[in-house]
Amino acid sequence: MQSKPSVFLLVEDNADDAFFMERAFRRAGLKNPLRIVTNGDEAINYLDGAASYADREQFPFPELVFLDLKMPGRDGFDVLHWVRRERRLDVPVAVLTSSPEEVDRRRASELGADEYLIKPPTKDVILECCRRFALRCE
Amino acid sequence: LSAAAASPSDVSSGDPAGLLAAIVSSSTDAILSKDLGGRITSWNRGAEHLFGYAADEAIGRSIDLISPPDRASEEAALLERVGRGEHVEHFETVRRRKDGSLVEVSINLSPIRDHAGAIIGASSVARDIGEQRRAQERLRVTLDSIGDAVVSTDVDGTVIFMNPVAERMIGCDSAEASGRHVDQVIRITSEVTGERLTIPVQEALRSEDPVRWPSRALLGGAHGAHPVEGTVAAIRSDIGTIGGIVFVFRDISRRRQAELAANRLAAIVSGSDDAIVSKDLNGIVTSWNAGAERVFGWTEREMLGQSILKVIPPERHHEEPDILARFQRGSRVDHFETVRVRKDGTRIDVSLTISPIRDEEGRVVGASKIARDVTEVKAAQAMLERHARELEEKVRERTAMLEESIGDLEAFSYSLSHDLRAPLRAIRGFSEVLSEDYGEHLGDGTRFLDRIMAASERMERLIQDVLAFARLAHQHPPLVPVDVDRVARELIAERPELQLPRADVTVPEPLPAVVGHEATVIQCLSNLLDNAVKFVPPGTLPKVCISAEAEGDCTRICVADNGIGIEPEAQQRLFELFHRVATSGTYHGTGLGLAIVRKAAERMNGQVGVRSSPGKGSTFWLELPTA
Repeated sequence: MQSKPSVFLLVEDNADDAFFMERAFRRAGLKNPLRIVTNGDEAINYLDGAASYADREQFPFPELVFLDLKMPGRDGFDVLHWVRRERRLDVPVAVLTSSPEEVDRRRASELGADEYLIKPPTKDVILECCRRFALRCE
Repeated sequence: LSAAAASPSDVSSGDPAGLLAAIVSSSTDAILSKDLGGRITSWNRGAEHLFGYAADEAIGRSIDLISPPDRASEEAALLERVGRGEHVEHFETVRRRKDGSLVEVSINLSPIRDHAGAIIGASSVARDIGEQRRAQERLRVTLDSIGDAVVSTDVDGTVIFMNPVAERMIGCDSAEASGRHVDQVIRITSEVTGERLTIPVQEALRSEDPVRWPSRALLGGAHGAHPVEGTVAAIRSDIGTIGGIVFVFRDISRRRQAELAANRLAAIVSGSDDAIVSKDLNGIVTSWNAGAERVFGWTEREMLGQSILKVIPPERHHEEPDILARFQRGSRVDHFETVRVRKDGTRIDVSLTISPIRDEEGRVVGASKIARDVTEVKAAQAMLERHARELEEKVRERTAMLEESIGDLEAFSYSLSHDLRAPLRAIRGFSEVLSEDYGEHLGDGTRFLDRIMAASERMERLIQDVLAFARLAHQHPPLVPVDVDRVARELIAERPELQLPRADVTVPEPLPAVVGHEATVIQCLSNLLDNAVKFVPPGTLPKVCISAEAEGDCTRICVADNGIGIEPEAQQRLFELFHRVATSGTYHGTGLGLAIVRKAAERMNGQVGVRSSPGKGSTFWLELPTA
């Protein structure tokens, strides 16, 4: 169990951005599992092990969440609120957004985000995150 | 006349001397005689009664017995006159009684002669005139004191008396007038025609009652003509004989003036547009002018004697006791705005002014009430208020719209920063993917990928600038001291394009602190420096110098370059939104940099400017309040 590589969860509604994340992973040489959900509700279900995500073998609990902010339905802030305030989960969350706005940065920090990354993600940023959160890389 | 007191029985004796003695004896007047030496020789009962001395007490004594000490010489003088054969009549003087009291007397003195005709003494008849005098005096004082003028004449009209009021009004004194005919003394003319008027004396002589003078009479006096009213009456004795004529009259100037004033006021009241109403303390209407008829619809006849409550709507009947209480304390009620009801039942807005009506002793006996119909004024006020409300409503709407616009702008900015960037990111990202993963298959095609990436970078900058400008447009950052020197040096240190070998940017002197917003100041400096190093002739090393100039209470941060310079006519438009001086082929820019600086300066209560000439570089300055 201990030797199993860390699982990442990417919450991203934009397929292009998801592609760039996967590419950044590849370029960083990471073979860790990167599970992708495309909206806030799915993210909550995944983290909750609810609905179709009940199987933790197939959908392991992640050790880092990359969270987009702007999404249809429940957005990134809603997910952050659910994670930190409602379920009080301590999984690391790195906000990954195109917004450099101070107001978004502040709000994310208040809701308990651990990182605030501006898109696009690069391999250096990914590796820095792995180091910072002591993730097991493969 | 030696007998002191003859008995009444003597009268019947038929002796003439005895008869005379009886008369003297029974007279109520004091009759006494004295010799030329002043010794009393006879003293009748009247004298006993008047002076208090019995006959045997007086006879043989000096007449000085009854003279007050201050009139001691008077008797001697009188005797001397009588001794010369004179009669002294109605000599009024004072004598002293036995008890010491004084008595006013009128004395007639006659010589007494002996058979030879020689004067041997004097007979003296003294009458007590005190009572009579007092009665006369009372009458005089009364006539003098009454406010009316009194003139009396004999039956023929000859003036015999005028009281002081008459003297004043006619303008001559009693002595002047006495003996003249009353027609010459009292002259009245018609106030209307100016003709002489006749006082109806003959009518008065025939009448039992006083007869009025003609109306509107003017009496010519020393001080001009005065309106007078008067009566004339016959003076009748108890038995009905006419002893004279009395004229009683008075100056009615004041009353006339008061009447005039009252008439004027009445005319004002009746002509007033306002309702003017008076009522007694029970609220019963005592007067009702034409204005009240018009305002309330009820006629005077309908309202006189009626309760004022008739014009007060039932729900406001409670106001009346309050108002009554207020003016009974003597206070006026001014511009009390309330509602009254008309005869036809419609309500009107009125402004009431209520004043107490007082009697001559100052007691409040009623109230006068002026009611002004302010229905139209109220309507106008209401309309004004409605307009004001509408205006407020509009302002609120516009404000809301504006806030909505600002909200829209913020949402737009937010949308720009997210949505617009996503496709841009995709363009750049996939260009990179192509370039990195498939570069060797593209050959010369990679040049186009480079240009796609350069274009998307420019677009990214444009988006950033638009966002920066939008933020400045709707944000009001707090203004605090900013350490410009540190900010400028840090900015240069973290931007490779502002350092050698790409550019030579220097801050030779420390820069003073200003009042502003640090992030905004950084944005301004950054934009100015970007421009300064950008617009240089090709192949030239950009040399930029940052310095400060004091400008009154402000500090100018100057950014001087060795660039291409700017035509004077172009300088004015430099700071406009999306204005670009350089052609896009040579220099890249969004056209927003200086507009952002200008907007930022405005937000921080400062300004921007430029000094430049073509070929000699430019100096852009940002002026902010010195900290």
